Amino acid sequence: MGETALKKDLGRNPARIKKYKPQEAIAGYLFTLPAIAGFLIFVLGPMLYCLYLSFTRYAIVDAATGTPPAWVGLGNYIEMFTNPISLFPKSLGSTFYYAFGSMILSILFSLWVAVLLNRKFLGRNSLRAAFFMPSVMPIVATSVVWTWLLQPQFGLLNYLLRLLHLPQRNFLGDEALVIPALVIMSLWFCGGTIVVFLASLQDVPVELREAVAIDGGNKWHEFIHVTLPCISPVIFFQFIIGLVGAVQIFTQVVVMTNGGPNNVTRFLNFLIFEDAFRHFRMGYASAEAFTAFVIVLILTALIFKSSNFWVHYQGGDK
Amino acid sequence: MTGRNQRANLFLIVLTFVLAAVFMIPLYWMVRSSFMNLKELYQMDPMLLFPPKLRLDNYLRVFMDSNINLLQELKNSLVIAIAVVFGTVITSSLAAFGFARLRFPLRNLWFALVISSMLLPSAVTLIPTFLMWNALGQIGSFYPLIVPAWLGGGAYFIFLLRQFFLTIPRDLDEAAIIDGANYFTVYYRVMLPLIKPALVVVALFSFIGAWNEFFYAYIYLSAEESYTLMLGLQTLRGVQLADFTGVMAMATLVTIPTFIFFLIGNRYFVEGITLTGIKG
Repeated sequence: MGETALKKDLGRNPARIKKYKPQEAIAGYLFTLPAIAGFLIFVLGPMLYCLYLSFTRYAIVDAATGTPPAWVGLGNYIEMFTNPISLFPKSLGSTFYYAFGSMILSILFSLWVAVLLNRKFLGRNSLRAAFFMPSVMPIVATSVVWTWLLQPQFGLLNYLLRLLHLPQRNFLGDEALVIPALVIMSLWFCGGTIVVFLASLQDVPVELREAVAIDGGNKWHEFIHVTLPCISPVIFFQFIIGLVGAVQIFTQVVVMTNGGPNNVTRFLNFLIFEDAFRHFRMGYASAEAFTAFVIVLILTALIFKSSNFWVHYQGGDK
Repeated sequence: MTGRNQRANLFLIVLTFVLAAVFMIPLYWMVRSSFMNLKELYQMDPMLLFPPKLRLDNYLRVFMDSNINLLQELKNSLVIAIAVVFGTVITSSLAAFGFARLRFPLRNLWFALVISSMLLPSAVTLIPTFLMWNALGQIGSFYPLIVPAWLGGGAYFIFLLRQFFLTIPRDLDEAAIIDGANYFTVYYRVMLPLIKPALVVVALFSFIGAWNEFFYAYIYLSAEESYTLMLGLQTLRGVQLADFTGVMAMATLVTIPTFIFFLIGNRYFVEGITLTGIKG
């Protein structure tokens, strides 16, 4: 302790001295130990082991008999991309089709609802709750209900189509319609994003909005030139978090489509799950998982890079 | 001019209400169908918008049916959710306090790493984690679903609580330290009481998260006596494809607790979500 005080006296700029109080440093590690251990045990360790497994052939029975993973080099990766019956490329395509479709639509929709809610009127808080509620509903329950809403003969949606004299559709059984149907359904998870957008809309400085009016701009100008830039960091954050979430779509597949029709909804998590736990190809599934991880990583990095062009940070304060 | 503005405004408000009503349709459809029998459910021309009679048969059947074992599933779901809530609240608040208030070597690096796991697709850790639990002989037990909550409880909550800790003036804990309190006392007696609303948010969110959890339960729990309600609902849907009214009744039942918690925490939710969403 005395030493620190001395250093403080000697060095004019105490912030430059990277000297930690030993007690505080130990306490710091003790407090964060569970989280750091959790990161090492459940994130970093498994990630590295996944990379290793991706170069091997390994089944769960091997774990029982004590057989170590058999090294196959790049075999899994080559098979994944070149074997004509490999579903990985298709799965990659449909996963990103779903994830981007869902996120772009969700962001636009949430923004629209948030702008609508961002005015004073009676019942506004109840409406906000109404938009938020479906997103806390168990996703299994949501999926069960949507299966019924989209049901080809007795579903509400087809009933409405029939009332309008439009052809009825088997949404979940039609290759072209199933992903759009899941994208529409994903709007029902927008509640959190709507609440975040609504809160950030309320933080848009009034002076800036008034400036637009003084310059003769209308509401639309105000939205494009003031509101949107001001909340762009929030949009960016929601987009990234939402995209990573959407890439992991799983429950809807298990409950609603089981990967069909014609493997269109065999999204990455479901494909990896089936390869690992139903076909017992843990090495191969690890290669799929790691490739998917790297692609998501590159995509997020690209989106982060692109953010320089469209995300506006006020006063450099993140 | 003002007249037109007012009409436009009224139109937008009505539009918002209509949109919210559309948003409620799936929820309403679930509850409506749960009070019907199959004949009513399949009735078309016209489709029934309201259940003709509030039938409770579906609920009774879901409760009584020995194949479903609803009470056992309820117990399992509760045990897991409660263990997850305690683990999350305790360890995420410890970590958040450490990251917000204590200076230690590599603090920012660890914080960045822990937070970065928010952007990690779960598939990449799935297989090794499964093999680890398998080696420990814990496949089929609740530990794989509970232990992660006791080790940090998820980046999101650490981030949320750290944001709350950062809003508290430093003078408070510095004064306590000068008075001779140790760091744990500062955390427990000074800081925690001040962020109670945030802790409520974490508890409610993590309860709803654990209650709704499907992915890991589906992977780790294969014996029926360890099924959670979500697995039970999925099984009921899969096995008895024709009994859609029973499925709707069970879907309604498993949704009720999340809505109760949601209504309790609605105000706090908004506060919590706002804080993380914006300062992200």
